[in-house]
Amino acid sequence: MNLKKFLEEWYIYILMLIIWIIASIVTPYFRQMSVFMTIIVFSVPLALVALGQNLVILSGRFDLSVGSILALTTVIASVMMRNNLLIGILFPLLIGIIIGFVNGIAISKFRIDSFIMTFGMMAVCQGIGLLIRDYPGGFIPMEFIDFLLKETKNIAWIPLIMLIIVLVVGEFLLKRTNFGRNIYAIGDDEIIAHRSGINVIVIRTAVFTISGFMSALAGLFLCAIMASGDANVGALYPLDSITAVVMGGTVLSGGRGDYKGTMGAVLILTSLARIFNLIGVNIWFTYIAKGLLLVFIVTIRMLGVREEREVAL
Amino acid sequence: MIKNKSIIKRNFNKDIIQIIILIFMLFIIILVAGIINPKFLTVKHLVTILHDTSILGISAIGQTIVILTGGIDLSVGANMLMADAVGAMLLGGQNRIIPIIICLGLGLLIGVINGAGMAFLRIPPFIMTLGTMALLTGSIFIFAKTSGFASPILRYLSIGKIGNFPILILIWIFLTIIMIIVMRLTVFGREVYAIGSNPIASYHSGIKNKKVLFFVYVFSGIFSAIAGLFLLGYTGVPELTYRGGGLGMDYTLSAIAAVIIGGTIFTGARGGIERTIFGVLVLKILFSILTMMGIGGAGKLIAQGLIVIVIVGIYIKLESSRGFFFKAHIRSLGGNKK
Amino acid sequence: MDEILKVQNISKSFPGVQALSKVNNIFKRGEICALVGENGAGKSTLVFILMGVLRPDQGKIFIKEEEVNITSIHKAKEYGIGAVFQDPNLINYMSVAENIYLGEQGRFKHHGILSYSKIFRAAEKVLSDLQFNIDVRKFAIALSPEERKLIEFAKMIRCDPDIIILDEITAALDYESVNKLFKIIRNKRDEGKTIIFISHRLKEVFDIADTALVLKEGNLVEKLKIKDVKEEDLINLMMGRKISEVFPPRVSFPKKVKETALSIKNLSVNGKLEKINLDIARGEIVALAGLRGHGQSELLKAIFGRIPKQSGKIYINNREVLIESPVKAKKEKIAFISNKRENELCFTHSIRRNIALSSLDKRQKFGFIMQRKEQEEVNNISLKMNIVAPSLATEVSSLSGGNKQKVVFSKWLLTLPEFLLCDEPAEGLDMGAKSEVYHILRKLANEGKSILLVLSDMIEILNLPDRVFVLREGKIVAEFNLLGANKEILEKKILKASIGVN
Repeated sequence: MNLKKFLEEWYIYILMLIIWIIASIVTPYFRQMSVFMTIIVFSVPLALVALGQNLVILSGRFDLSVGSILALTTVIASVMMRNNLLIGILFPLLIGIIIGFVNGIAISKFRIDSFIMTFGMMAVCQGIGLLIRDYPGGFIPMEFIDFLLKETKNIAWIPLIMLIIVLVVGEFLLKRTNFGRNIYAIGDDEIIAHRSGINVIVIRTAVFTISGFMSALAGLFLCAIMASGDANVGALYPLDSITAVVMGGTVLSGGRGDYKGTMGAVLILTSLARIFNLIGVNIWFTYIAKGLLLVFIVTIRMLGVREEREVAL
Repeated sequence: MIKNKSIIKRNFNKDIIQIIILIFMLFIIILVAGIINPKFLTVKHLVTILHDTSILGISAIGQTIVILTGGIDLSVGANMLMADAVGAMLLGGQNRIIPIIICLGLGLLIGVINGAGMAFLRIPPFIMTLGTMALLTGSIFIFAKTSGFASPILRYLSIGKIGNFPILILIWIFLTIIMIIVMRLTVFGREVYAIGSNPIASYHSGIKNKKVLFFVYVFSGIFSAIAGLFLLGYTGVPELTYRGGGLGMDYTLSAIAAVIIGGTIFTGARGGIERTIFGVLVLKILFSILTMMGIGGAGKLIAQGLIVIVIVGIYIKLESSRGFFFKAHIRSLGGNKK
Repeated sequence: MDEILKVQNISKSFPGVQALSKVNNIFKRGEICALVGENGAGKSTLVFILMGVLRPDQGKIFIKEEEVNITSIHKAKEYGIGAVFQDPNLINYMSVAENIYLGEQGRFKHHGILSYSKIFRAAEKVLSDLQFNIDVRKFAIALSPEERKLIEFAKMIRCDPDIIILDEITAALDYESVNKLFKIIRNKRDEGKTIIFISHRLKEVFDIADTALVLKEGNLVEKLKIKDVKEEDLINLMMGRKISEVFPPRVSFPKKVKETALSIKNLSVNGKLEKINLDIARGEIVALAGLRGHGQSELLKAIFGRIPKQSGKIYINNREVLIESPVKAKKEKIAFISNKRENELCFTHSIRRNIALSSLDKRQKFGFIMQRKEQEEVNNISLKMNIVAPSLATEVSSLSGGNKQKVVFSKWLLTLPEFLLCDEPAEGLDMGAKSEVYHILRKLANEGKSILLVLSDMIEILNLPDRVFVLREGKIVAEFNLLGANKEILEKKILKASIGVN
C-alpha cells in the first residue's frame, strides 16, 4: 500500500495522534489516564449515533432525528427505570426502532425527502420528549450507572469495550456482509442497484431502523452519565454526527467511506472539548474548532479528488 | 408530431393545485383559529400576527433563494443572532448608523465566506454553512456580551406604527416585492432557477455558475443580518439561543420549514419567494393557534414537524401523477444527496 | 421445444405517441435476431417490456410456451432474460468483481464472513472464460468506456440467461472487442441461447444476425432472414424513403473563396487527443468520424472549453483565442450542441425559458429581461425550427426527443453563433426530425457558419458533410473530401482508416 493510499485511509487517526501529542505537550494534565477515560466515556454516545448516521449517509440520505430520539430515550428511561430496570432498557430501545422504522418506510416507500422527513420527526420526537417532562429529572438506578461507568484500576471498562465493539461491528457490517455492500451500492446509484435486484426499500428501511436503534442505545448510555432524563440533550447530535461522519471520510452523497474514520473523528471531537477544558479555554472554542476542522478536512479531500468528469461549478 | 393538450393541462394543474392548497390551508387555519378564539379574526389581531411574522419572513427570503439553487444555508439563525448581539453591543441604545453598517457588513461577510467555500472550494453547502454556523456559535458566545440594546430608530422601525399598521410589515412587504421582481424579471433570477433545475445544463449553456451561486449565498447572508437587526429592534435586547445544535438553529429551522411548507422543495426548480410567504404565514398562525390552546413549545414542535411531513407528502403525491419515465431528479443539498 | 419466447399482440402507448402496436413474433432457441429500425420505431420499448421495466397496455408474453407476467427486472432475470442497456449499469466506487456479483456478494463467504478473495477469484474466472483482460480489483470508475461495456456484458452473462438482449452494445467498442464479443455471441447461439441484438450499424447486423425484425413507427413491418436480403433493401424498409430526400444537397466549394474561419493547431488532451491540427472554412460542414470514443467528442469539448487542454491553440479568423470555459466560448460566438439532452435542458422549465437561456445577456437592460423582445425572438426561432408543442410555456420534459433537440438548437441559434460544434446532433431522433436537422445544418452553413460535427453513422458521414476527418486513438489518421466522391470506395476507405488497416 503506497503512501497516498495509506494517508487516505488513516488520515483521521494520524490527525488524532497529532492532536493528542500537541495536547500532552501543552498541558501536563493531558497525560493522565483519567483524561483519556473521560474521552472514552464521553465519546460513546456520539460514536453510537454516528454509526447509525454513517449507514444512513452511505446509503445516500440524512437522518436529522437522531438527537431527538436520543433525548426521548433518556426521558422515557428516566420514567420507566424506576419500576423495572429491564423494561426501562428495552422499551426505549423499542421506541427507537419503531421511530427509525417509520422514518425508513416514509423515505424509501413513500419517497419523502429524507431531510424533510427526519426534520419533521425530529420536531415530533422533541415535542413528545418535552411533553413528558420538560426539565431534567427522573430516576436512573444506581446499579445501571455503576455497571456502565464504574472504573476498575482507573479504566472504565464497559465504555472502552463498547467503543471497540461498535468499531468492530460497524466495520464488519459495512465490509463483510452482503447487507453492507448493498448499502454502498444504493448510495452510489440507487437505480443501478435496483436494476441489479437489490431491494432498495428493504435496505433503506433497515438502515433508518438501525439509526433509530443506535440513537436509543446512545440515549441509554447518556442517561447513565447524566443520571437523569433530559429532553433537551439531543440538540447537538444531528449536526455533530454528520460532522463526524463527513470528517471521517464518508462522502456526503453516499457510496464511499467507512466507519473507522468516523470513529476517529468522534474521538477527535470529544478530545478537543476535553483539551479546551483542561487548558482553560472557553468551551465555546470547540464550536470554532469544529467548524474550522470540518471545512479544512473537506477542502483537503476535495482538492485531492481528481476531476473525472466535467463539473458544473 | 402530435400535439397534446392534456399534457399542458397537467403541467398547469400541478402549479395551480399547489397554490390552491396553500391558500386553502391558510384559510382553514385562520378559520380554525377563529373558531377557537373569535378575537383572532379581528383585523387588529391579524395585523399582530403579520407583525410577528415579518422577521421570519425576511430571513426566509434569503433561504428561499438558496434552496432554489438546490443548496441550503444552515447559518441563517447564527447570522441573525450575530447581528442581534453585535448590534446591541455597538449601539448601546444610541442612534448611530455605523454599528448598523458593521452588522450588515458582517452578515455580508458570512455570506461571502459561504459563497466562496461553495463556489470556489466546491464544499457542499450543507457542510460549508454548518462550518460557518459552528464558527459563529463559538465566536459570538465567546466575544459578545449580551449587554447593550437597540437604538430608538431601530425600535421605531421594528415596533412603530403608521396609524395602526406596523412599519416592519411594510419593510417585509417591500423587501419581498423587490426580491420577487429580481427573481422573476432579471437575468440573475433566471440563472438561479436554471442552476436549480439543472446545474450542468446551465454551465453548458454558458452561465457562470460560480458567480451566481456566490451571490446567492451573499444574499442569504445579508437578509439574515437584516432580520437579525430587526429582531433586536423588536425585542429590544439580544437573546442568544442555542437550542438545536448551534446559535440560532431554531430560527434557521423555522426558516427552512417555512420554505418547505411553501412548496419550494429541494427540487430547486419550482417555487419561489411567493410560495414562502404562504409558508411563513401558515407556520406562524399555526403556532398562534397552539399558543391559544395553551400548548407550549413542545406541542408547537410536534405540530411543526407533522405539518412539514404531511405537506410534503401531498406535494410528492402531486409530482408522481406525472407521466412515464419519472426519474427522481430530486436535487440534493450537498452534492448529490437526496 | 424450439420456441423460447413469444410476444403476442404487444401494444404500448405513451401520451401522444403509439410506441408499439400489435407486435407479434416467435423467437426460437439458437437464434440471433436483430431488431432493426429507426429511432422511435419501438425497439427500446419492446426491450424494456421484455425486461420488466415497462408494462404493455395489451398483449401477452410467453416463455417456454407458458404465459408470464414480467413485473420487474428481477422477475425478468428469474425467467432467464438478461440485458445490457445503453445506460450505464455499474457502481462506480466498487470493484469490477463486486459489480459482476452485485447484490450477491453474500454467496462468497468464509466462515460466515464475506471473502473478497473468493469474489475476486470467481470474477476472474468469469472474465477469463470470456477472454476479457480486465483487472477485477479495479474500481469501475477507473475503466475505459469500452471496458465498462464489457463488464456490463460479463455481469449479465454470468447469470447464464436463456434470452440475451443487447441494446447498442457495440457503440463504445473497438474493432477487436466487437469481434471478440461476436465470437462469444455466436458460441452462445450454438449452445441454444437466443440473442436479441439491437444496433443501428447495419454492417454489424449483417455480420452477426440470423434473422431481423424491422420495426417502423411501432409496427413490425417485416421479418427476414438475413441471408435473403440486401443492405439497401433493409435501409429502405427502415427509412421508408430515399436518401436523396433525407439529406440536403451539397454546395460546391470554389477553392479560391475558401477562407479558413476556425483553425486548431497542436491540440492535445491528456490521454484522449494528440496534436490535432485542423482547419474549417466558412460555410463548411466538417465531420469527425472513426470509432466512437477515439477522441471526437473530446475535441469538441476542448474547443468549447468544457474540458481543459494540455496544449494547442485555437485561431478564429487568424486571431488566437483563449477558451477555458463555455462562457468564453460563447463570447467567441461558438455554440455546442450535444446529444445528451439531460445535460443541456432544464426539464422542469418551459420551452421559452430553455431557448432563452444562453442568450439572456443579449436581451437585458440594467439586468432586467426585456420580456417582449424575448417572447418575439423565442417565437420566431421556434417557428423557424418547427418546434411542435401546445405552447411556449409547455414544460420541456413533455416534448418528444426530436422537439427537445430542436429546443437545444434554438437555444444556441439565438446566441448568433459563427461556429457550431455538434456531437451527434440527430442521434435518437426519428427519420423526419433527422432530416429536418440535416437541412437546418446545411442552411446555416450556406449562411456562412462553420460547422464541426461528430458523426458515427456511415449514412450520415457519406451524405451530410463536405469533408471528413477520421480519428483513431486521439490522432487524425485520414482526411477525405466528399464532394463528388464515389460513395462505396469512400466508405471502405473510411472504415479502414477507422480500424487502423492500411
